Amino acid sequence: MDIMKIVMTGIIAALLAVVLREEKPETAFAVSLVTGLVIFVFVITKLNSVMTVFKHFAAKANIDILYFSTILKVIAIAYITEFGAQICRDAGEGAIAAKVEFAGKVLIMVIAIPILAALMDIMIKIIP
Amino acid sequence: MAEFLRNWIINITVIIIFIMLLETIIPSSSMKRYINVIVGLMIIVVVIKPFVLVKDYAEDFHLKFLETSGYIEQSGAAADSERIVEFQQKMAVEVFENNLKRLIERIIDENIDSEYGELSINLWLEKDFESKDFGRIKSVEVIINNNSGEVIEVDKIKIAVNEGAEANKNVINKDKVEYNLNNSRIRSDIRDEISKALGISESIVSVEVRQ
Repeated sequence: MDIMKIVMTGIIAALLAVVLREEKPETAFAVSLVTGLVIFVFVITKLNSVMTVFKHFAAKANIDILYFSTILKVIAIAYITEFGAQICRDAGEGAIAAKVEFAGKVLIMVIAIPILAALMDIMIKIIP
Repeated sequence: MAEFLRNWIINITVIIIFIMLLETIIPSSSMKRYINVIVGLMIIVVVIKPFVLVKDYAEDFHLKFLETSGYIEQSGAAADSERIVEFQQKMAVEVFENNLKRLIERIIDENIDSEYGELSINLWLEKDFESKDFGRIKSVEVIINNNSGEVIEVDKIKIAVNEGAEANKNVINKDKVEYNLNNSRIRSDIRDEISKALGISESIVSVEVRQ
């Protein structure tokens, strides 16, 4: 059972971090960071197969791959940003976490710009 | 027409089901607002697609999308491979030019023992890709600015004979002509070396020492 593995990893890491925080806060941070990474990578590999199935369906239903890839990119950026920001916040660096989130927002907007530009172009052309 | 309608309905349905699914896995943070904006844009695009198709703007839409995304990713144009090739060639010329400049700098460093001020190297290359002599060096101009601004006279030198090397470290054991940045000497020396290293005629190499 995958979920058991992940939960156990999480609980053990949490215990370790709690014990270590008194003695060595920097090691506790490292423990939480590594745990986060391990869980993240583990889940990402699972998500990958789901995405492959989705793409397969998209191709079958004759849907433009453009929409899918854009949405997937946005979701991926959101997740990675969230992950990074939370790690920064764990380390007590709220300011850096805010900057990471800001960067994520900007990058999401950058992805949106081509769609927006194309949409605007069409709108202007349709209206005589 | 029926086929087109079928595709349109499938598109909308699948996209909406997909987005519904994604809504559940979106991280619940401030990101959600931004994601919703993009998802909204997507739905608008999917819904207005028939109008776009009726007016035969579909190609335009894709072109505009690719053009903008290419521009944003600074690859010039993702849709236009020719421009990418051109960009790469331009980069190659730049690298070539920088390497040449570095080589000339090294030659100058080796030939001038004393310190000199700012160094400016101008290269004229054949940059036209169509041309037969693409990459040929048209001319080289080297301008060396003498930092000190005046000629240092080295005449009487007091040498503390009994003090050893430490006390005499400021003593210059060179002739006046050799020590100072001498225009004519540098001209001939550096010119020679550059033309030899680059394999070009001396006549297109100009070396100038500015005081």
